[in-house]
Amino acid sequence: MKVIQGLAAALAAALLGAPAAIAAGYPERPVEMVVAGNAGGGLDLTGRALETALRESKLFPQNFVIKNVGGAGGNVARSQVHQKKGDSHMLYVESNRIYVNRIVGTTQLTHNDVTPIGRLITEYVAWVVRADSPYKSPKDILDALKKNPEAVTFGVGTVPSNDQMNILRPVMASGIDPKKIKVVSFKSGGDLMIQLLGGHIPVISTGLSEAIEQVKAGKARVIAVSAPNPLPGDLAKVPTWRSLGIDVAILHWRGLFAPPGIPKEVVAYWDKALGQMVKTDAWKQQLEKHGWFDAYADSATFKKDLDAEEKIYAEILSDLGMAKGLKK
Amino acid sequence: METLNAILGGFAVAAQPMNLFFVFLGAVMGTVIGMLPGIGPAAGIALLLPVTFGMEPVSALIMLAGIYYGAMYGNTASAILINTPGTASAAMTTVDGYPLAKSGRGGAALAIAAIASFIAGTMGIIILSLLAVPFATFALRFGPAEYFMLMAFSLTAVSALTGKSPAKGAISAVLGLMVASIGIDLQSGQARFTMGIPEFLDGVGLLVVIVGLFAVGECLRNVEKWFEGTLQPIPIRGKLWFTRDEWNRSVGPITRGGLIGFAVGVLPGAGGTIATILAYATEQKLSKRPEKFGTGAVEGVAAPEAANNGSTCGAFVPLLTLGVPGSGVTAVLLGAFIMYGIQPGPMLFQNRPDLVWGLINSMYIGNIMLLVLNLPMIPLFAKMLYAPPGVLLAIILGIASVGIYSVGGSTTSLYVLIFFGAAGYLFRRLEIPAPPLILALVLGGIMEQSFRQAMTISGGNPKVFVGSTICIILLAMIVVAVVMPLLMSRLRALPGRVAARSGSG
Repeated sequence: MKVIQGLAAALAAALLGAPAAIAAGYPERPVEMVVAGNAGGGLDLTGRALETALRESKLFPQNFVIKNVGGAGGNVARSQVHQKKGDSHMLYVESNRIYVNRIVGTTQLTHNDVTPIGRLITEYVAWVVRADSPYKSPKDILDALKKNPEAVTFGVGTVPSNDQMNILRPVMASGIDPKKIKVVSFKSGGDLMIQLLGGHIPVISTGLSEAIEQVKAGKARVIAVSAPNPLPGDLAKVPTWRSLGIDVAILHWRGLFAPPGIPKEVVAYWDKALGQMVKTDAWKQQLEKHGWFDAYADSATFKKDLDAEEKIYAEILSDLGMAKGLKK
Repeated sequence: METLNAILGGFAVAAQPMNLFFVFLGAVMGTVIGMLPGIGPAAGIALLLPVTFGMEPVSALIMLAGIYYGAMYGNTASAILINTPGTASAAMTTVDGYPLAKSGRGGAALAIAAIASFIAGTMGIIILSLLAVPFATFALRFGPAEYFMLMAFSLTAVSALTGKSPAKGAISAVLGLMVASIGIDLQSGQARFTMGIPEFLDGVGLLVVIVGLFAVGECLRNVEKWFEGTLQPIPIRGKLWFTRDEWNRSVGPITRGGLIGFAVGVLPGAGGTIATILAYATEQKLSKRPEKFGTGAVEGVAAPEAANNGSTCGAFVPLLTLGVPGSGVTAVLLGAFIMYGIQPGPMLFQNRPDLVWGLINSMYIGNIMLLVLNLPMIPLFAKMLYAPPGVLLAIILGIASVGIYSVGGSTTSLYVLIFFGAAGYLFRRLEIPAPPLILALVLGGIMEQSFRQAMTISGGNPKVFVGSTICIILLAMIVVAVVMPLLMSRLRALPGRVAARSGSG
């Protein structure tokens, strides 16, 4: 009876194209998914969306146990994952803090100390002004900054961050000294939005999804977005940096990692499984529900992109004197 | 008319048997979560989020909100009876609540706290229903400069908490400011004074410091007294309920505390603890017997307990009207909205009136349930104090350690607890008041950040701090708060001097 069940399962797997054959015996048991943020936050929502999509599309035969490990900017979760060397039954959801924290000097660990599995989703960062703002285009702001780099103050959630890069990189590309630009942090996207709506800060750089409801209500305008290509649907009108002739694109991504030293077969297993998952309707539904964009990259591409991004961050943060971690 | 229909529709949603059950469940869980130090409402709600996945969004939100305001009831009992606030916003309750319990009026303090929570909670819901939009506009007027002035005004409350020696109060407050500077600096992203301990990147947890200084410190001092043989058992004087006189003295503080709590709760980033500090300081300044504060004044329990319940209602204003979270707890609730596929935003009242009004109106029911739940427990709780010191002290230390460990699951927080416990013991021996340290720790971080934000925006021009009506009003309040006690003491001294002269002459 067991043999027949086994055969049936194998047959089903073959028909569904589940990547069971790549790593024999993987997965043997439920996989622990460490999320480097608290429940309800962006990383947590990403982890749960992944779990839901894999379950609904039946692409992964085991369950996930999601474990929220917030704290210390993700450093606590990272050191836990780093210590589980060779454990194939652990995954880890993180953002670009994976390389940023080492540059700033709050940890020694980077993406090279864990195993990149794949970039899952991205959000984009936008310049947002109040509906009644005199600034119609980012060009207005950049022109003002060219005359006087302190003419406009920007608001962001935290530094260092993609919010901040989305200010400094277009500014640098326009030939303005980034050290002179005034960037004020407001802790969270929520506080930041209130400062903008209250007229205390003229322009903020924040996640597009945080601004969209304010735009719909006619309280704010998005004047530029960090997407590499024009956005789909209603958002197609919003200019990207590239459409404005500024060669900047920033993915505010969230990705999947695993502990260091896991077998190559397991990485290949996930390349295949995730490659299939991102094409399913279950996953597309999750993207739509959360207002995320598809930015899937397999393990090799992801690793390459991480190295490239890390280099850009290191250069800019060194320039600003924030790269305390690189001097050691 | 349409709004009225929506409000009535909300009652229909809230009164569905299923939703009544979830209000009750949320209220009970909130009480328990609030009672134990450690997991507060934000963490409690976050932990329960995954469980609510399959639920009807309205029911889930009703339950999660119940945890939030339920915790403001629960956090009182441990604060009053064993000097261990269940959440940070009950820290001010210990200042007078614990002395009341020690003098045998613990039952009265608990009863006043429950009634104050109920009245302020209900008041808060009414204001939320009627005036959410004007209050949201009010919140928008607070920029960094206004925040700085508000924090500076709150800091003048140090004098209310200092007791006899201003110098010792200042020492305590400065230590608090030092602890507040530990962690990642928001403006530069750099770690400050973290001593290589990763957990310190997030700063030193407020609750750990409070529980260490208050609960563990008190335990250590009591152990010493026990060895000396001077530890007195706590008597129970009078009835468990409050007297007519105690009630009359509490009515004003409850009303004002509820209003202050609501207004501060509306401001993102300020939060419940600051609301309690302001309410307490206000009552102390208005009181005819300010010297009683800190030694067991029932008003000193009524005001902060009303304020922390008022603030929970206020915190819903930015969330429901602007779609922006105003506190740690509402940030988690925002995550919950998104999980259920509801986009909170400025259009929420128009798009989902059933949900918004169902949620708001369920809070009336929740507050009644909480009052009914909490009152019968008072005699039970008050009896706890009869436990022999050897048992009681061990229980307190156990609750404190387990609670603190449960927050982050890291042993570092236990060492921090022990450190501040030892500090609390020293403070008691040296008669340094601990509340100013807590106050400075709460205010220090926001005060520093808002100062730097304001100065960056203004290009280094300090005029920004008198640049708006709110700033100028706050400045006037600061001046009054600083100058008035000096004037009052002069005025009080006058008849005394006259009497002394006539006596000698």
